Amino acid sequence: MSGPSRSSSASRASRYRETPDSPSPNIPDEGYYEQRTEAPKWALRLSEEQRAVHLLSYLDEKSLMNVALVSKEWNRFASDNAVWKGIYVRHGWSVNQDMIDWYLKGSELELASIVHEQEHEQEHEQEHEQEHEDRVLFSARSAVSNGKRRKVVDIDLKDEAAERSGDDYDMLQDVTAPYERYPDEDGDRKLQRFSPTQLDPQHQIDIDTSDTLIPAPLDPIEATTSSSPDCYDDASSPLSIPPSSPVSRDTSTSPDGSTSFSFAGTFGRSRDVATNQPTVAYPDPKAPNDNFFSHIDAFQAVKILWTSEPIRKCIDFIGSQAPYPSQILTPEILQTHRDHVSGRATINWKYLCMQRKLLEKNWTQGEHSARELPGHTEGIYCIQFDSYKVVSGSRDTTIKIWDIRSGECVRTYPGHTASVLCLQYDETRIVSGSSDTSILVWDLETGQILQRLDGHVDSVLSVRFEKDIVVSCSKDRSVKIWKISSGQLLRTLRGHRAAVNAVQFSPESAAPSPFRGSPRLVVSASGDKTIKVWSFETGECLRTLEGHARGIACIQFEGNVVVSGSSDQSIKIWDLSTGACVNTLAGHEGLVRTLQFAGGRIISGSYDETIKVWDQASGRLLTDLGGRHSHRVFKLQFDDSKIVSCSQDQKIIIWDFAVGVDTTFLN
Amino acid sequence: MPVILVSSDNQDFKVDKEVAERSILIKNMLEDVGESDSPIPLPNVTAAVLTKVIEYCEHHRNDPVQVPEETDDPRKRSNDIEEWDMKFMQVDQEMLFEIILAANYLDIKPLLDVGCKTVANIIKGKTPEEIRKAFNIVNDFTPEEEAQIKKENEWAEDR
Repeated sequence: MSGPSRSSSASRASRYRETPDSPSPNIPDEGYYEQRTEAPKWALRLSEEQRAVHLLSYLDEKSLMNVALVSKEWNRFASDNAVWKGIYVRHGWSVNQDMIDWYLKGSELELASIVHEQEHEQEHEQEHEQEHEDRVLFSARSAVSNGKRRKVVDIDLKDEAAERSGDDYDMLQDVTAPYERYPDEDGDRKLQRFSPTQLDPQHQIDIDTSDTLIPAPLDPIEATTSSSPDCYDDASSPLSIPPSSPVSRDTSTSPDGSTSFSFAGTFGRSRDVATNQPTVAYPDPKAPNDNFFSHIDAFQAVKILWTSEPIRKCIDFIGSQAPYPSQILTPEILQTHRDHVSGRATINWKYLCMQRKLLEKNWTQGEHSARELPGHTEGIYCIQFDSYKVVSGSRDTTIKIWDIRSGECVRTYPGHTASVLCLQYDETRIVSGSSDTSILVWDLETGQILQRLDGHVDSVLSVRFEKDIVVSCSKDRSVKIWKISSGQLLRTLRGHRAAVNAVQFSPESAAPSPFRGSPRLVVSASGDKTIKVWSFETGECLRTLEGHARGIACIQFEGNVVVSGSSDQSIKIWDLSTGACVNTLAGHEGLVRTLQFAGGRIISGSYDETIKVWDQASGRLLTDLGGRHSHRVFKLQFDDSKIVSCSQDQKIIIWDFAVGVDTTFLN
Repeated sequence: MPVILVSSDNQDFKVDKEVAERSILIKNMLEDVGESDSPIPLPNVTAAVLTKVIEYCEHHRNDPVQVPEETDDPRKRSNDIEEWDMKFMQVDQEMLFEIILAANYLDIKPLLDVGCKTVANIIKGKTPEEIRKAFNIVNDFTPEEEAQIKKENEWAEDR
């Protein structure tokens, strides 16, 4: 920090300060620049873009903001996409990678298909010679400026409109309006424009449902409630695939004669494709996007911010039905995620940082909107959700499946003879435990009972499963490990002196536990105030964690961290390997019945009717969410943008924190 | 076998091959040339800077070579500089920058990283005006432009 540059800096700075009242102190005079012999060194060197970016990628966003204000040149460095990507990733924030892949590749494919189609039409239409030049230029470079690209698209649309005579809708306004792409008889891809009525956002958002929500042969139980009111009748839907399409959309006609069905919801579809592969005939196997889209599981739903209103919808990525980005995304989003020099689709990481930061702010400030899923007729003990659905279990003895998007109950599964106390589902199955002492394994889509595990002699309070293994715990003080396929009870873990309220076991993929000889663990929490750590392999009790003053209602463990909630109204964080309690979070005024931790947050639900959001590292209470549940909170789950909770008040509440946040590419 | 490096101001530096090869540039040069004891000219590096760079390479001569994936470690932070490196980087700003430039030119990634982290630490927590002072930058924004950028970046503030 010495030498001439330093001193000249100081003198300049003081000079700057001497003239605060001059009308435009920030406008530099040229003589000023001339004098700077030493000064520009940093700036000059920083201007070697790559190095500047490398350097700035070590900063946080707040420091970057200050860098941006230093000078025009520094502002340019601070705006670099790579810097922001680094910041995003370093926050540990996740993205919806499927959505990003789809957007980037889909944009390329869309451009390519437009060019291809135009070249096709070119043979028939000679009057667009100038445009043809554009296209050639475009295809040669495979990337064009935004303006040019739009022009190409416009032309295409005009051609299309001309073909469909009688339609005088002004296409130029709707470059990014939705188009249904479908395979025509030639196996060629075309863009079919919707009728103008389809441009209404209400209709647009149903792109995904129009051809998936089929008036299905429904489970009789749900026949009256399961069809979504906003879905189109297949035949009347202008969005639907033409009759010539060979793509099967009604699995009830599947040739294998299986008793499969069309789920009146967005989540039956992957199954349709998966189990009825032969009926999904891709008309043009050479079409470039089939390979890309077909690998994406339909269960990996995508949330879309459709207009300025935060209405998020699901779209499918499957095969030939996969929409192009311009069919789904708003012009604003397309414009945001585009390289302004090359015109190519690119992720704007600074924008994602901003959205993510807004989301985080909503979490810390408790800013949210809420929805309810009404339908159960008694208290609701358990829920689990994903992008498509919520599955719940109630004292009314049923399991219900809800379309998370529409809020419709799409399935009700009776089978238990008493309260459904706990459940977990995966892609194909639900495993539930009940106060009727049984554990049932259900087919997720049909509700068929695949297996029944009997052995507990009192209420089954918690179940967890992975692949063929179920671990359950019961009021009968035992923990049991089962094999689903054979229905066999593999092991019973005894040692707790009261009801075992919660259990969890290491997933198959987990890193080996710190306990020698026991790579996988079972962790259980009991009314006897203790948490026990067991060897999954041997059933031996490896450790007992003591510290809660009253019974323990819930636990989660992840790696070396265990978090527990207790009737003593506290939450404790434990180090699994040492058995030490590392933090105690006080604040609830009732039994802490449910909790989850992820991404640095712990969220807990209590008999005090509130849900609280805590910072895991500091133990600080970030947000206190009260006033919505009017009775004990029994279970909750959260993801990056929302909490779903259920309560004795018979309500399932979806707390959505993405208020005013564009979650297009977020999880 | 020692290698002779020649700085831009024509000073010779005799260093172990192992040390010299912390620089990927030199490593590649040596591989290209094969067994040869002819001095390697480094026209972009002064003796003063080369002394520092060699000091760094001597200290880190036994470090494992960075694998390419590691270089894009998403979790890189500017506060994880090891103590020796931190002391090593306690030089005036001019030298700090010279070291970064030399590390870049000689292709010594860990040194470049340490240098950049050090600079990042200087920037951190400073106001724009303090950064300008620290790095001798003239504010070329009009008040309107400045206000505009502030507005655009408002969201980054912790609130």
